[in-house]
Amino acid sequence: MFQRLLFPFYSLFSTLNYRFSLRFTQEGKFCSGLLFASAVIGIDTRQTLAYQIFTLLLAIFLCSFFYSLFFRGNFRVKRTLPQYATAGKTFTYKIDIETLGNKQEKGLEIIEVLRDQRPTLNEFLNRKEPDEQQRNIFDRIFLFYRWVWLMNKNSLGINPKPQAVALLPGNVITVSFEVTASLRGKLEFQGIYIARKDPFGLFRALIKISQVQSMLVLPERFIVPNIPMSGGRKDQLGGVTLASSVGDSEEFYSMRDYVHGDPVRNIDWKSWAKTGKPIIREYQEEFFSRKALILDTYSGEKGEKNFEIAVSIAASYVVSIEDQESLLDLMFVEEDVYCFTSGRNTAHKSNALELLAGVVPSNNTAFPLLSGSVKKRSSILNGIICVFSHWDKERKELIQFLQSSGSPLKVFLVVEEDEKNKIDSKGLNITIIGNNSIRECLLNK
Amino acid sequence: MQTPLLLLGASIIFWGWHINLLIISMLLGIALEAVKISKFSIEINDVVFDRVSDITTILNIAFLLFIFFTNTFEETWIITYIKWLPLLFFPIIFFQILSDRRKIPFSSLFYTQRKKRSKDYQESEIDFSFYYVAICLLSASASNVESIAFYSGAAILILYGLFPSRSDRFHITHWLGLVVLIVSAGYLGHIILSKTQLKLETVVEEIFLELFGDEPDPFFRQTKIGSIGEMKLSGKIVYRVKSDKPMLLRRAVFDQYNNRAWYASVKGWNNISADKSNLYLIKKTETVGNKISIYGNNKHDELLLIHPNGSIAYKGLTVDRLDKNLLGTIKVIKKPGYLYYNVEYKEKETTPPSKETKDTLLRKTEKNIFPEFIGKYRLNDLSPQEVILKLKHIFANEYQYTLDYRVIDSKAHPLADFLYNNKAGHCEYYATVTVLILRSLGIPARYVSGYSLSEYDSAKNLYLVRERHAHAWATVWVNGQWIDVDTTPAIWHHY
Repeated sequence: MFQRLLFPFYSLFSTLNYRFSLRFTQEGKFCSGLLFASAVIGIDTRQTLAYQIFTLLLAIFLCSFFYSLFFRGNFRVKRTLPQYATAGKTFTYKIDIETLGNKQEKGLEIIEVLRDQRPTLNEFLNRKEPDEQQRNIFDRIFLFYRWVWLMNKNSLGINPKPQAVALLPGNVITVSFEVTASLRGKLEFQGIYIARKDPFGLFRALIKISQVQSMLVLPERFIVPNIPMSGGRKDQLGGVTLASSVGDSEEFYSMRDYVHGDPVRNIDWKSWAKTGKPIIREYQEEFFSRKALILDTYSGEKGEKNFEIAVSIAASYVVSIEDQESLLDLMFVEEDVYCFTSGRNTAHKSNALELLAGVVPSNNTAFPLLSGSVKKRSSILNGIICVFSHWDKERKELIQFLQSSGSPLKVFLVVEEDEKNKIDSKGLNITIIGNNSIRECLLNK
Repeated sequence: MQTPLLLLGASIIFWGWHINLLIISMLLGIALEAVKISKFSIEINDVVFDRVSDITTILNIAFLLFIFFTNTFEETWIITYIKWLPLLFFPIIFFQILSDRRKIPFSSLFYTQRKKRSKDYQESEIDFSFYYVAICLLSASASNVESIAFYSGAAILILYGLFPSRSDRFHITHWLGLVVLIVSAGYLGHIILSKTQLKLETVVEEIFLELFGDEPDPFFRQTKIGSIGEMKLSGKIVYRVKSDKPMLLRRAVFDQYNNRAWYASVKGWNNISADKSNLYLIKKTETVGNKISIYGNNKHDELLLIHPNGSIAYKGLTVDRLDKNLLGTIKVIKKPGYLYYNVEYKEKETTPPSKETKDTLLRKTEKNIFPEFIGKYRLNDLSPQEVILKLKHIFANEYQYTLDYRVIDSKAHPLADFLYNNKAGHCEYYATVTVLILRSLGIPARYVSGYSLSEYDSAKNLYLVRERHAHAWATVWVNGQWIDVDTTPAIWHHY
């Protein structure tokens, strides 16, 4: 209840903070602080002379505000974004800008406008910051750090810095932005501000240009060990013909002389014309493997850090599994069970990565749905990779079932670093990944 | 955001100039700028910055405790602390300038941030130099030396600091024109602000007095010693007194002076009960004393009774309780409303100074003020009665009365500035220096606040006591009695 009351205050505070940061330059923020300090120290004009500093700074700020009222301009901007970026890696995009007026425009800045980063009430109440339990009692009651974490998450950790630009009439200037998204997800741009500072460089006048665009930031990926999935191959007819026709799928193998009874459709007419006798094209049946990548979207009570690592491990396998020879069923649960098949021209693995870019944690009540679906499909799978960030009896039971089914199985479990030795995985072949030693744990197995 | 060349050095020298540490500040400023210009640097890791920050914190805490508990400085402890900030924070700025990265880790300044270093934490760094410039400016302002030099210097430093960040969209002449405008506006602004505050205080004080009355605290009296500007006094009538002569009527007596205020060191009260005829007998005497009648009004349940020196009995009071303390202050508990009482008095108070009262106490800061005055007028060679007469003569002929006090030397103790430079002030100055000079000569003396009977209404045969008749004087133990000594030039009655 108390935290519900905090929500509007944090929301208002974030709005004011955003507007303050947008309007005031770094020098302006510093001078605001000095203005405030001089007002406090100089409150009694008989005790100190700080009130003189106050009146001087106030005069400067009033001049700055006055100048902010007189900024006009007509600009055209175009932003060019890459299709994807990867969390943790720097990417570059460009903005082309030109002035439609007749005069030179100096001393301008381009400022990106991202979508509103404030979390919803539901997010604020239900999504826990990683390691939140380690914060002191005051922070756990007031949840300020959770608010900050959610804001950062919604912005994917991106904060593009303003870029200075000068424009001449008729010239298009291209400005590059180098940005690093620390988190996966959908990066949404709302528009662009063209800013002009006052003569003292404290305060910005703004013109907003709407430019709504978005791009996906895919999950961070690790180098993961190859997992041989052979043994117990099951015939799978699939690939191009699965999508486009019904019936056998065959691959061309060789030419031979016609034998009575061969299908007329397999006669190679060109060869007959050359050789003078009927020639038959011989085909071999294709066999594809089908693997499943199971992502458990429940991360337990301790927060989402382990879940993010699980998503990254899953994404790493989406990329590393060769899709020339196999199908990959990506399965996870949010409100319902999702099974996304990629490989062999059904869908590209990039589509699977896009899904993983947007997957969100679920609650534990959805796990039985996922478990049931996996068990049903296990008979047609050549191999199964499971990635968990929570461990309990239900999950243990699923792994036991999958192991007994005979399908090659690889299980990853992401846990807190200090819990690596406490997991009850007797009789099960599980790779335990400590959340502070991911790369080492992956490469050790 | 980087500090331009010489800004840091100039700021610290500006500060040192204002608080009379010019040589030291010049050395520090030159050291800072020399390191910057020479680009000399050494590798300083996070741990060293942590230690420097910790040492700075310890210095600050130790200094705060020192000034708070020793109270050896004339101004309030917070002003003293602000004055010395540049020196207290110098280690941080010096190590920053000396380090190869020219910034300090943010976590070094805040202990709670240091815990995050062990995990994958993106360390941020800050440039402390602009903050240090701000500290120097604010600390210099705490010197409170009224002159155009402070404003000019502060304006130059601030505008020089902002010069690199000016927008290149505007020509330099445009910028310079604006500088002239805002410096003028700022100057005008601070004069208006200063005058407005004084005016506002006077108005608020009058409103407060009107609404709540001025019921004084028997243990504390804040004076206006050291305050500049004109004291405004109200003509509101507070008492009517039937007396056969003008006199001084005391309301509260104090024996301890500290930092522009007088205190009563004794906290206890002796209850005095009325007899069957409703007479409150303060002191038994064999002879009958003189009498005066006092008419007034009280807004509060508790009030201090005004009475002449040597009062021995009170009659006609309808109060719930009457108390008297060792200094002679009389306090009554009474329902708000009409006030009337008669006072019988003997014109001399013979209760000697007690061990509990501090009638000869002189603090270190005040002890050093008076020897020059005493030596100049050879007061040491005189008897107590002669000293009193001499002081009256000196203040009447060589000093003036004024309600519009001006500080001549702001670095001097306010009493010293009055005694040696200004030689003009209001009754609180005269009363305070008289008490303290007499104490310097070993003569017990106390500070009294009350009223002077001076305005006679012949139609009603009464003295009118107005708020502007509030007065302060000394009471001195001479020849076995306390006598009132008023050294304020007599002209004050005309104000």
